Amino acid sequence: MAHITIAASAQAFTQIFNAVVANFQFSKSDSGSFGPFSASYSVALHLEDGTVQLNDDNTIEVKDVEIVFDTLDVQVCFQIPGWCVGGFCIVPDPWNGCLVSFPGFCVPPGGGTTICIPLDLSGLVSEISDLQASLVPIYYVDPARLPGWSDLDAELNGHPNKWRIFIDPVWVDVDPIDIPATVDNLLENLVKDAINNLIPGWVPGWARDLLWALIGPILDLIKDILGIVGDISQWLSDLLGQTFDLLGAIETAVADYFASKYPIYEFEDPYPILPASAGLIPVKIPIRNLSAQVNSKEMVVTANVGA
Amino acid sequence: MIMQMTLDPNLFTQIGLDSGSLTMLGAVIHSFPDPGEYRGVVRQGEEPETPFYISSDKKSAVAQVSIDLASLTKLPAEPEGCCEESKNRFIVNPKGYVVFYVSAGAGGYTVQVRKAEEDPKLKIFDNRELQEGDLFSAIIIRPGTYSITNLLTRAKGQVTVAYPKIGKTPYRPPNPVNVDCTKGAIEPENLELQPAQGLNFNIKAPSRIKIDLLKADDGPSPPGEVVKPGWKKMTLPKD
Repeated sequence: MAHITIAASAQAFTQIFNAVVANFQFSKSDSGSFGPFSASYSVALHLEDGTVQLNDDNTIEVKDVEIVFDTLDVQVCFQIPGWCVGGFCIVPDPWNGCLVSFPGFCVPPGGGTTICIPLDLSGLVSEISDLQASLVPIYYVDPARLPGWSDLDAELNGHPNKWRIFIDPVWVDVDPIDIPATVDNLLENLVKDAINNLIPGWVPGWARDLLWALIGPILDLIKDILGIVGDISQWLSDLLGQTFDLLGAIETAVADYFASKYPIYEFEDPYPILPASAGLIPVKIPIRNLSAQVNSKEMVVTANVGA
Repeated sequence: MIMQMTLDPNLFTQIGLDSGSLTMLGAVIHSFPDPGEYRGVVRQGEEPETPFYISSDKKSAVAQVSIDLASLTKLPAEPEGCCEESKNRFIVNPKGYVVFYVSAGAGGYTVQVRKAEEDPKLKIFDNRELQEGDLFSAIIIRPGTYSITNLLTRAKGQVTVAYPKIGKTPYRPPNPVNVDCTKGAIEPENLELQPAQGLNFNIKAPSRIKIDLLKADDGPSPPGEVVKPGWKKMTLPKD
């Protein structure tokens, strides 16, 4: 039988868990080239809300934790083609081909121009749909503790060893980033602006209109260049989530954070029972064999007093 | 900083065309059915002439030689007949065609080509006086109504170029329209074109085709721009 048993109710555990969640922050940026286009992103996010359930099989299940993207800046760069006029047939050949054609000209001369479209998707929300974990105690030796120090020296210098209890995820499942369909309009307008900015101001209105007629519908142009078959929002979600593996990076960061960065509880070892007073040193007991488990009602931490 | 496209302003400011003074929007096509060596010169306004050479050679498989007059006039001068592989030397099959065109710049080019070994005064091709069998090919990109005049026969015609419309698919100009320039007429006399649609003039009598803008079409008013009826204060020029 364990010498020490401490219990925290499911509600108390939830409050502890909420504090852990609230402290999570993640940021990352990356860039890559993908054939017809290149892209980069910069993301900063935090977690909010969520429910936690303790199970009798000693597991913890976390659901519906919101991932709030405080910053989600995406930039997509691609080459818009040149628009050529001419090239029509002047003298056809007898086989329905063309013997002589008008050389024509292209705008701009020599081909396409690269444009970069910055998309500010900050404020989007995704969620950790499922996180399964168990509790794991880890003995922490403070790296700042000097080898010659006694336990008392370590306590007095603020670097005692500790038992720490972490939530150790078995799996973390983050939902794909739900980019709203309105991103189509956003992208369309940004590309339109970018092309407008490419056209020098002195170009007369009729020539601009001819150029826009040659370009055709902007969304079709974007899809054609970027090779998008379905929705742009889905493509963008896949670009971030799958191609850049942002979802994987978030899942890993969440798992790593719960498992080793932020303990839900920690005990000093040796554990102080009586503080120093009247010239006497504090009374501390060494804690051994600490284990942490859950059932549907509470978290139970047990330990022995060791030598 | 916003990067802008480099566009040739001449494309948008040189609205009219003249087969005897070529710009980016026009090209003349000539065939050299007699095998042999030809010497040509290209001039741009008062600038010194630039020579070039064409070999009409039965052994050549080339059916179309496109000679960019703008590039040709920028080449450094070479002594006549100096180099076999010179950039101002072209080879074409006698059944093929030579296309004289302008890739960039202000244009205003005239071209003359004669047989190299014969009487230098005998001009066998001059784009200011196209002959039967020649072709003049034009693109009109500015919407509006234009007159077509054959300056040598005084034959006249008219062409209307529609204002571009942004459709559900990218606009591609339709196939070119063929026009016959006979001794007394330009047929058909009235043409309707889409913007940037080609116009091929088949020369059947001595011709110099001039296309002039009569009335510009600046398209519909921008959405939301309502012209109010009634009196409006006029803005007087400052000077």
